[in-house]
Amino acid sequence: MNSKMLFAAAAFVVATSAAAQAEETMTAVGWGGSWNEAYDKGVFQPFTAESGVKVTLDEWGGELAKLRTQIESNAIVYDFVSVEAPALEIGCAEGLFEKLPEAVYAEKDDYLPGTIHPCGMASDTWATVMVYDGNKLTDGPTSWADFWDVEKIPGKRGMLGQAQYTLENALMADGVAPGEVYNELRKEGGVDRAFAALDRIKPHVVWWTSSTNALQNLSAGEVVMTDLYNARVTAENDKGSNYKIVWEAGFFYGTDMWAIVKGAPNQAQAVKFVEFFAKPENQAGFPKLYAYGVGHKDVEKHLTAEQLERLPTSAKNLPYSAVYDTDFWAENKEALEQRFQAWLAQ
Amino acid sequence: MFFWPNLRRRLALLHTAVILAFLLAPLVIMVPISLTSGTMLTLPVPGWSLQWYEVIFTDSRWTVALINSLIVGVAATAIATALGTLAAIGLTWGRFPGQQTMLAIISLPLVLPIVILGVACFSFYASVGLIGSRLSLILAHAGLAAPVVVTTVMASLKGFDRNLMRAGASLGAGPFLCFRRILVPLVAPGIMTGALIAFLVSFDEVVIASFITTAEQRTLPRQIFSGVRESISPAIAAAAIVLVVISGVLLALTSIVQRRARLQRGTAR
Amino acid sequence: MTTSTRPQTAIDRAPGNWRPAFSRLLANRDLRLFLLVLPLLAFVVVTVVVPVAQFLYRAVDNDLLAENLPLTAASLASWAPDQGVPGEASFRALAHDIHNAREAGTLGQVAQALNQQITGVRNSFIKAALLVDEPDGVTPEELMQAIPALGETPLWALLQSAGSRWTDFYLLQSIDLERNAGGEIINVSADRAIFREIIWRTVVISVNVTLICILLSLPVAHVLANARAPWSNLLLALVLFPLWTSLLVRTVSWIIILQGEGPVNATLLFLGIVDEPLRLVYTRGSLYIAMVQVLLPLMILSILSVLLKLPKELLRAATSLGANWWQGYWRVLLPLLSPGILTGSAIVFVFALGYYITPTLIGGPRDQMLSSYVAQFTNKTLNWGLAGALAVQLMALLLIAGLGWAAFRKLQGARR
Repeated sequence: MNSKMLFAAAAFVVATSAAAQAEETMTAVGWGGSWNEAYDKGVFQPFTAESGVKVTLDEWGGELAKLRTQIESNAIVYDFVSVEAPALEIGCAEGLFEKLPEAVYAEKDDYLPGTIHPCGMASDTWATVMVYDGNKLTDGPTSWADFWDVEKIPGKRGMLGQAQYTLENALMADGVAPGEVYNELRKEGGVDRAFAALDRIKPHVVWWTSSTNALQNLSAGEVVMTDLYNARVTAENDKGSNYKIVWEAGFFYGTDMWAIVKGAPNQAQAVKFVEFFAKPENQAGFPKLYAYGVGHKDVEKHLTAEQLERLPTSAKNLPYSAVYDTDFWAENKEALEQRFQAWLAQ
Repeated sequence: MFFWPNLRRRLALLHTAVILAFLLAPLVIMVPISLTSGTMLTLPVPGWSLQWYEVIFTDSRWTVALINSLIVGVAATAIATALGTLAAIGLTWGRFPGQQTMLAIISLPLVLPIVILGVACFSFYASVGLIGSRLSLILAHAGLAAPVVVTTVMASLKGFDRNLMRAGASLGAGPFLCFRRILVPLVAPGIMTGALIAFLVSFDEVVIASFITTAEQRTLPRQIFSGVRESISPAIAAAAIVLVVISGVLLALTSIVQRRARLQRGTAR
Repeated sequence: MTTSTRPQTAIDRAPGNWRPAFSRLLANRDLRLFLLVLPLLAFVVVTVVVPVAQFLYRAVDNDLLAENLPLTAASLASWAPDQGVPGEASFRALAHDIHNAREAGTLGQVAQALNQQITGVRNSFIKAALLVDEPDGVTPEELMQAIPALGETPLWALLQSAGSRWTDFYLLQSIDLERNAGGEIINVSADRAIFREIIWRTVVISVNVTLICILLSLPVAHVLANARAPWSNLLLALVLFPLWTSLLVRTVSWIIILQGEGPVNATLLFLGIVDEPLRLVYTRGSLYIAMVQVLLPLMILSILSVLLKLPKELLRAATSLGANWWQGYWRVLLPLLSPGILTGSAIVFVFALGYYITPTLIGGPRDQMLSSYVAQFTNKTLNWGLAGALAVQLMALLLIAGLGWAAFRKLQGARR
């Protein structure tokens, strides 16, 4: 009797410790909301099914300060994070991130430009696009010049209340082709030209701070058109709205990158995930559910025509676009945001 | 002559009614929205449903947040109440140099802009390696709530007759016995009130939480906050109602405690 | 109060035993009471005072540059901007500093900190790091090719400032000032001046919220003070209830109420007062509405607590002496109420100054207050120096408000 109990207890201990060993985990940090939901369903759940690694999905606003303090104090709680490409650049230089496994980085030619980096690979490529409500405007804008033309299409315009992404739109409205925008901004007087263009539209602008409030302004008819992240628009259309994205007006796309945090407690698991995610069929799990692209060129083979068409990086949309220049913004962000704020307050 | 004061009175009453409506409107409006059958935060609601309550009581993100909030709230309250009560006794009865300064330092978290406290906590708890642990949030909330306990307990101690303690001591009771059998029962209402407010302070706090917590320690207000910024769903309204109901229950508890205390004092006289 | 009643034993008096000294100390009643305060005091000092002080210190902290550019700063000790670009020794010192910083893994932070003061040098420093494997072999020309800004004096002046452990750059920046090449303090150019506007905006919003609260509270306080038994309790509970409910919840509620399709706009449209929905949310107006709703109960309570202590016949007495109602109120009642109004104003104003959640959620980009920028500079741009400096400005506003309040109190006390 006693020995039986002892045996049972021992078996129990062995069983639980075995279970504890099998229970591999990692903490991944994304951008929250429906982005996280899509990643969870489309990528992390399949990953867990294949590898047995459980993924806790957290969310943040890409604040490198949080990472830096975690690393400095050696209290690292994030294993794997999605950061904006400029932040990856900075963080990689500062040594906040581990290098990608060599085998993964070796295949960099299979990736779209700007979607792979020694320290990370694209988690999503997103775009800021012009959008209007198809139910309210039958004859919508077709160019950024139309966006600026309040006589042709009367009504307020929604715009993101910051310099980054807004100066680009202003120059496009002033007739600069997307591919030339950063050359213009780097030129003497280029930034002034963008602000001069903004001067013209300023009285007609309702500034937004979060995409939620931009969408509300649009749906409530407070603005007739706005700039917005493309996947937010698609998600609303899936719920029954009829918003039109004006791809052909020209747009910029940016890339968020997955990176492994330096000294992450579950680094091995994060590496496992990177290897899993390097396969195009696995990357495709995200764009299937969400209208943002990923890095690998072969991903499109795993998507339907409809899923492909709504991505900023699809063959149909790509010609209208240019890439956000992370170098430019890494250096000029603070100064230009300050100037933008001063301009806003005038 | 008679007409004017009357009109003035009516205007004042009307004004008060409007102000009360203004004060209560944001709380009232949450009720129908939390019961909507739709997915948008708009009025009027398309139909009625309990689906959003189901979400917050079954979706693990919300349940984890609720449990975290309760754990952090209870622990922070315990620390704040213990430290705050002792400090209040010392500050009310003691006469020692620097007393005002000490009270000012202890009250600092009350007037400090919450963002400054949040950023400061962030770098402090990071430097001691406590970022992303529930303990750091508990300690931060305890510091925030302690001044409230000190204030309420000090107020109730002012009405306390210290001869009772002397009487106890002269009858041979030690300081600890006096404390437990005489002081605590009499100032208990003050302590209770302080503790309840302390709990609410922690239960409602979002800024510090957003600076020092990660997904696993996310609290209810933090969950609501992130929801508001990213994608508004009526689950937020349901969570808000839960917050309000808990506050309401605690408020009712406090007033019962206070009324009882008043009755007790009344009969003692 | 009885002091030590316990008879002393031989053990207590044994030499080297700390107990008797300790219990003698404890016999001092005030000391014992002080020991009760000590735990909380220590707790608050450790978890609040010291961290906040550390954060505010970042406004003047120059340690990052001082620790990473010691050689360069030393080589520039006797240099002045009017001497033009310094000699080869300084270039070599800089090459060594960059090399050491790269080895220590701090180069990224140094480049970032330099970029905060001179826009556009970040990438060039990181590029330069690739050159300095052999710091002694780098020529000034090579270094200048990687970092073109080295051909001009402002960057050298900045590198020279690494000789000090403190900097006034961020504090100056936080009130739109800077030092020119000659070291004099000047206004920054108009297209970069934003912080005075933000500080002023924070003060204006707080003052307006306080004034609105005073105006709205007075009649309510009178009604509450004059209400009869069951009503007075009910009314008080209704005023108090919002105070007990989540600030976050109330702010979100206002977004719903005021949004384009919200009940307010729906009513206005239905009544035909407006033709298309008004833009109510994400404006200064919506910010005022939400802030007043949150802070109003505090003002009502402050005024009420004074009003309840005044005899009810006061105003009637004044009017019976021939003054009309308005004169009576203005000359007699209001001065007596002023302590309550003042306390309420101090509370409302101080709380309003530090507001963060409400402006973030319900204000537009032009309605953000100081706190939002403190959070933004810490979180987004990692500019701890500027965040600290803005926090210093916020604390200074609080201090001014506190001193003003204390002075007013004194004045009132003197008048009586």
